[in-house]
This record gives sequence, C-alpha cells and structure tokens, in this order.
Amino acid sequence: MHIDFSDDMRQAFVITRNEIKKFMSGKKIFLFGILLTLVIVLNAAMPYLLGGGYDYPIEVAKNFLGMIDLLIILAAVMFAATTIVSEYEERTVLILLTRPVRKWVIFIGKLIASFAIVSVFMAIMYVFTAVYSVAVTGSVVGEIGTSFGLCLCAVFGVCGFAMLLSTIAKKSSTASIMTLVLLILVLAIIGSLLQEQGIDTSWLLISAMGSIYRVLSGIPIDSLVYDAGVMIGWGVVCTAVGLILFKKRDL
Amino acid sequence: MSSGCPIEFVNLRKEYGSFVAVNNLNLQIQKNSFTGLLGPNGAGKSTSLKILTNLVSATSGNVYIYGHDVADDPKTALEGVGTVVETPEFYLYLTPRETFRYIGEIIGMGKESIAAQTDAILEKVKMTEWADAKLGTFSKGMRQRISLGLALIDDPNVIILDEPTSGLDPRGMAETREILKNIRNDNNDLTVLMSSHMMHEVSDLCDRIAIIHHGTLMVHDTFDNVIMDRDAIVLVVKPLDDPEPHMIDAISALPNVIGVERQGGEIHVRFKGDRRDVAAFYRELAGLDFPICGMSESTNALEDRYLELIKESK
Repeated sequence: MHIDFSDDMRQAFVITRNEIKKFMSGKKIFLFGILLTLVIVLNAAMPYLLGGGYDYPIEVAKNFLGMIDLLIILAAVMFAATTIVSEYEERTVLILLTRPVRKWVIFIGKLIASFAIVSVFMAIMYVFTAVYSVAVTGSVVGEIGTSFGLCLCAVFGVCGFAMLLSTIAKKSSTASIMTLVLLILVLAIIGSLLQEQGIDTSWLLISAMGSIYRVLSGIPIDSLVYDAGVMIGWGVVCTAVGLILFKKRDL
Repeated sequence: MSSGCPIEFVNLRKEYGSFVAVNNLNLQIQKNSFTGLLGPNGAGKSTSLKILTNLVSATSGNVYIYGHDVADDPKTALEGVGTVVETPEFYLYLTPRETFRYIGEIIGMGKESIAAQTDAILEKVKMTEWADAKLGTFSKGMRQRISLGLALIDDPNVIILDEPTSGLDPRGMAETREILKNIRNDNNDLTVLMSSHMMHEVSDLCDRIAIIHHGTLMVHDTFDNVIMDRDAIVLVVKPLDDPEPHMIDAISALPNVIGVERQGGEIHVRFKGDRRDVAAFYRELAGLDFPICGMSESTNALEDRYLELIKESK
C-alpha cells in the first residue's frame, strides 16, 4: 500500500475547510453565538444590575469562566457530535467515501474543524473576559492564559468523545443527546459514586475539566499537567477508537 | 491481481447476518466496455457496487480496480474512478461550482484545471445555467445530473453507476441516459459498469451484460451473445396494411419460425436461429407478396432472456 502522508494531510485540510464552511453556513453557529452573547451579557451586566460590581480581576475571571466547561460541552454537542453521523444521515457520505481519500483522513479533517470552531468560540469568551476585566478593574488575572491552555485540552478531549459517539450513532439527534447525557449526567454520577467509595476520580474527563476554573485560584503545576494529560488522553483514546469504528462502519 | 481487467470481483461474499447478499461472485469487467449489471431486487448488484466503491466492506473475497484492492488501498484503487451511487445528496449550502471545486481539491487537481473542467462538465450535463445556484434548490433530476458531472471530474477511466436513473421521472431518466450516451461517445478509453433493473436502459446503453441472481453470476457476455442465447427471439414485422391471415401463414412457413401472432398492426414472430438466420429471414420476408414497412428485433429481447435465466435459476 502506498502512503503519501503529505497528500493525506492536504486532503484533511480540504475537508476541514469544507466542514468549517458547513458550520458557518448552518444555524448552529448562530444559535451558539446567541448563547455565548447571553452568557457574556449576563456576566457583564448582572452584578451591576443587582447593585454590586467587579472590584478585582479574579472576580471577573471566576464569573465569566465559571461555566466554561459547560460551554465546551454544549459547543461539542452542536458541532463535533453531528459531524460524522450527519454525513450518513444526509447521504453526503456517498460523494465523499467514493473518492480516493482514506477514511482516517476524513475523520481527522472533521476533528480539526470541530476543534477549531469550538476553540474559536472559547477564545472569544477568554478575549472578552480579559478585555472586560481590564476595562472594569484595570488588570486581568495572571492565570487566564494557563486556563485557556487547559480549556483547549478540554476542547480536544470533549470533541474526541463527541466524535466517537458521532461515529456510532445512526442519527445526529441521538449523537447529540448521548454526548450531552454521558458527559453531564452519566460521568458525573459515576464520579460521585466513586468518590463516595473513596476511589480517585481525577482520571474522569469532567473532573479534569474542573482545573480550567480551579487554575484561576492557583493550583499546583503538577496537578495542572496531570489534568491536561487526562483531557488530552481522553481525546487521543476517543479519537483512536472513533477512527477504528469509522473505518469499520458500512453505509 | 494482474488480469489487466479494469474491474475484478474475486470470490466476493457479503453476509448480513444469515442473509447472503453476494455469494462467491467472480466477474471481470472488460476494458472499454459499457457493462450492464442486471438482477432482480436483492440479487446483490448494489451491494457488489458498494463494496467496489468502498462504501461497504466484504465478508470475504476481494474487488480490484486496475489491480488495486479497494479494501486494502482505497485511495489508490479509486484514483481515476468516477462514481454515481443511487442518488447521492450534496452539501446543500454549496453550489455546483463549489462542489466541483471541493471534490477536485480532494482529488488533488489544480485550481485552473478544476475551473476549466467544471465549465466543460457542467455544459456536458446541461447545468451551466445553474452553476452558481445553491444545490438545496435543485430537483432530484438536476442533482443526478450534477452527480453524473462529478463522476466525470479529472477524466476518469472507470465509471461505476449504481442505478443512476433510480427515482427519476421519465424526463429525468431520458436526460440521464442521453448524458451517459454522450459520455460514452466522447471517450473511447472508458470502462463503465452500471447496475440497473431497467431492461430498456441497459439495452440502450450497454455492450456487455452481466446478470446476477442470489448474489451469484449467471451470465456475462456481449449484449448480442446474451440475447441470442435464448430459446427463441421475437422479431417484429410491420406490414404496410393491417395484418391478414394469409400474411401470417406466409411468415409461418419461413425457415426457423416457430410461432407467429398478430399484435395490433404488427406481426410478432418467434424465431429460433443465429444472426445469419435472422438476416436470411429478413431477405425472404422482403420477397413475400405483401408490402412490409418495418422489421426489427423486439425491444424486449433482453427482458425475455433475463426472465428465462431467472426462471431457470429458481
């Protein structure tokens, strides 16, 4: 078998570009944009409407980024969870798979697109948080960069997880609901049950994602590296399993 | 595999649970042929073509395109292959021009080459006018024309068509057939494998026929050989005047005629013989004492043979 890796990556880039175009032309990007705007406006205005305000940058960062893990999950549900299954559901896979392109290239192209679009939304959130913090408190919390780095690790982990489910599911709605329920509910239940038994749950994706927020208050660097490793590990394992299942998936 | 055939199915088998869709299929498609793959519903036509186009994996056996195993190396095998599998859907937010660009870029074509080919192909499939309209607004027939056009991008040397007129209205079917004829006439160095269960479509387009039933190959030969290898063929004779009993008697008396019946203004002659016998029959027919304004082989010839074969296999 002849493998031309550079040509494979070129094809992956073409697929990524088309996937981003697909996201940009759909309603989901508009919906998520509204959701993000709502979060930003509420965080920016509510404290003042309630007669308070922000005195320190840490308050701004903790309020704005307090639900960043939930936003990552919602973004992955909207974009990554449907990216593979929708090709089968809408039968566009017929024009893609019958071309001289390897299945893993399609998968990676779509993963990169999902990662990119979710990351851009998160970057908007972080940029707005920093700009707003400087505007109202005169400075920004120093750990915001590290938090964004951890956020990107989480985006990779969650997108990998969502794409794995997208590879298995028969319908986009099923993949979206499964991603949401498993990440928000099932893993949380498993986490609390294990904790009750005194079992370490730091290896769970959502436990590790907590470090995106915790870092703002300052936590040891070795703990951050571990959490980043857990999130990347989830991404790598889910991507690998997703790739295998996608290769085996028939029309 | 090095038989030199553009497409080869070798001991191909596909099982869905206990149902065997393709059963040890061995078939070699001749270079530059337009081969019709026929068979009843569930015979394994579509499954075979989906395995050939990397959409479905085989349980066992192999398919090769120019010697490259599709399952092992789909990227190399599908290079230079155009496909139309059923009526594919498109990315509705793209225009035909953008779709051609997307597929062209995946294949690795240069921008200029894509632009030049897009214009030429859209003209060929009569879609120039809609080159920049969103595909979401297109009818099924229009989408099928775009899909045929996509199969032509980068000048393929093999085209695989899985029921390309399925689900189209009569006008859409006629347009698609016309495009396929033109594609064939424009390129002599092209091998086409088309599945269909429409006999007239296959008769109209194909020079070779492969019939499969219960996932197994029953016959594969030239169109002429397949239809001549029958118990009898039906020749249609059109007298200038309404058929009369003496005409029927005269035709019945000619050599190799095994049955004659009147059907409206035509006389249908069941005939047993080869091409030379048919030619001799036409000569003798012209010498009879009543004027004839038309003679032809029944357009149902392929259907007759097909039904014979299917019946035999039961």
